[in-house]
Amino acid sequence: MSSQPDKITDHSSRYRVPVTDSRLWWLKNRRYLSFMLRELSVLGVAIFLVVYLVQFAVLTSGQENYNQFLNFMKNPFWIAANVIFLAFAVLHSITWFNLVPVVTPVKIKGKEISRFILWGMGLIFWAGVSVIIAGIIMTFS
Amino acid sequence: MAKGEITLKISRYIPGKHQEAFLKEYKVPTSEGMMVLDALNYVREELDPSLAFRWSCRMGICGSCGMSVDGKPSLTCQDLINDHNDDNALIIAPLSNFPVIRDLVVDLTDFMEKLKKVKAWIIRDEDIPLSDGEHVQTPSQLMAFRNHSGCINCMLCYSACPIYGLDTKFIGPAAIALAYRYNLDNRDQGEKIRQPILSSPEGVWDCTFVGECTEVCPHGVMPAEAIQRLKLQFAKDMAFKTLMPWTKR
Repeated sequence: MSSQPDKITDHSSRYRVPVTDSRLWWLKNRRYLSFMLRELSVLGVAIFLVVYLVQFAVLTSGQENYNQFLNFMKNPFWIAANVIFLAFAVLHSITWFNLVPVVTPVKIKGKEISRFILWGMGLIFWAGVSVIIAGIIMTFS
Repeated sequence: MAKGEITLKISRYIPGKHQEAFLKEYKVPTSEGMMVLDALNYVREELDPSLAFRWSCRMGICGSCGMSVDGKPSLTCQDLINDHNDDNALIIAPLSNFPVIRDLVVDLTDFMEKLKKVKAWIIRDEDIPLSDGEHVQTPSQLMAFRNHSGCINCMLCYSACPIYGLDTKFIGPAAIALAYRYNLDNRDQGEKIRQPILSSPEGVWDCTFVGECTEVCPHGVMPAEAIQRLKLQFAKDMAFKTLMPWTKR
């Protein structure tokens, strides 16, 4: 009997190349990149919320402090940061509405509503709510 | 490109003979309608009989000939050479994420084990005797699971999945899609039996919804959709169990 290892069943001789073989695997195609941007967008939204909460806290500490805060936020760094936060928030919202019809199919009288219609309804709902909130803020500011 | 020549850069690795995989070039004459698999068969028949790769039906049914073509998972019998004529060269490698046995042949044992784990077959509490006739199924009951029954186990979805690339414990797209297919089948009664493995950390919750599995599927099966719908279902079940423990769900 030969003592040579059986090459067919000798798993130690096998190699494996994962699709995530480099730190930049997410640049391999457009969809990997879009996934990473979608996940990253949470960070922008979260930082914006922290800044917003700080703004609330400052508001309770008096008019003078609040005006100082507003002046501080007018510097180019924070204006640029807010543009980036907004871009992240829009990206996050759009990609979220893109996923909704995939995850939650809606049936009416046993027939599934088209994904395109569901997606469109989501975006219209989002735009509608945004306009109402903007209207309330602009009316009372 | 009607007639011409293409260079195939094929990943070669023979255990015991090669220390590691390397790309070997072969010049292959091309013709109209030629598939990547046809080019590989030309190499094996005319240039190098030692090249190992799997194939069988040449009709996109058997799922044997999945490989990585220019870095993208591809069912090579359905992949036209003409679609890749940018620089008249193709890099052909084994599917990513799987251990390589030799050249372009990968080891699929892990998937086969997972398919058994999720019990991707019809489970009945009690079998209906043959004398009672067939299980009746309406067209709408068939349509409920038809998409997910199109899976041919070609493994392109596993090869495209970065989660499986990072952690092979993940049950993965095809096995989950097939388990979901049986959950949706009105003849099946095994949903509760499959739930523990599907709702485990290695089950649907490992998925971060990259969605590439659905994109690369040659049969239009949507594993990403199946996984997200199962997540929603498990989350709802958990919420009901927590908030209303007296209800039976």
